[in-house]
Amino acid sequence: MATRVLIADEHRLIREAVAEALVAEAAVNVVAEAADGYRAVSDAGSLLPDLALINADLPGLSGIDACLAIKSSSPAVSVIVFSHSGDADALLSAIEAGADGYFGMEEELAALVGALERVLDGEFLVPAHMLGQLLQRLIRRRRRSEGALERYLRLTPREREVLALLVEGCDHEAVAAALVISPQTARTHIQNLLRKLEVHSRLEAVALAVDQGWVEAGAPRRV
Amino acid sequence: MSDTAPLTVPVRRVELEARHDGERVWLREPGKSPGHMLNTTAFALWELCDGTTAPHEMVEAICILFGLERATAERDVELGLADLTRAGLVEWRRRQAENGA
Repeated sequence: MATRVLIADEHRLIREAVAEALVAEAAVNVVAEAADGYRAVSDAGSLLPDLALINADLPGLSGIDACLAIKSSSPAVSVIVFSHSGDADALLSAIEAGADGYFGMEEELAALVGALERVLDGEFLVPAHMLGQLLQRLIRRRRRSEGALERYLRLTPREREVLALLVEGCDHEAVAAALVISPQTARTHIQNLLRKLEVHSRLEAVALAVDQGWVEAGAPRRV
Repeated sequence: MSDTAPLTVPVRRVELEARHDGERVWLREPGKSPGHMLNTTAFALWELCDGTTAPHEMVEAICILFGLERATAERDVELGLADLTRAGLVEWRRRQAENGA
């Protein structure tokens, strides 16, 4: 049975060249071609291809976000993200978005057939020459995350409450009203938590808290 | 770094030059031959030996990337580092502060 493939790339020339190469070299049925990320997600949801081949740099919804959406809604669809050679950031983002493989655009089209087969066999596909830098980036990201957690653990329970209120959009007066404390005390809590988190502004603290998942960003609080 | 960090970590020999040959990589000292041939996985491990990265960090990254069980990744990293050490491609030194993280 032919492998059902969706191809997403902004450029028609590339879509058609890839489709032609796949059909010529392997038992592949190209069920959809998408020129932007939204269309790719829509087609993947309705057609449920075996595999989606997605350019990381799609217009509208990016290829990485499209990958995330497809893997969230249709996890059985395998996704290969392709991008320019050596783009380790795109590779890491693709992995975090749940991609099953990554293919460099400097590779030969013929190699794409093998890549599809390997991914459909359950193999995780990473360009060999990017493996070292990818592992290094994962390690650095983990260190940053661990360092941030250590700083968060320095906060008192009260300071964590204040941080959560800052994420909700409160200023020091709203924090004071919410916690039934004086504005000066609220200001002191805020200064202390900024110092402990080693950030320079409330905005930076909020961004860190949301990024690390300590506090979920929600609707602005009314006080 | 945590207080439980090991005192020594692997460090690659910086004077070695790498030459990529398809799925293999040759490491050799300039002007000397024949050098050492590594597969891409062993080369990636060698690249991680920067004097700041501990083996347990390598294990964790490999587990995340390949979805391996920790015990499997630990064994692979241990064997890989042992091979690189025996071949004289890495040496073990006290851990340095990380640069440019």
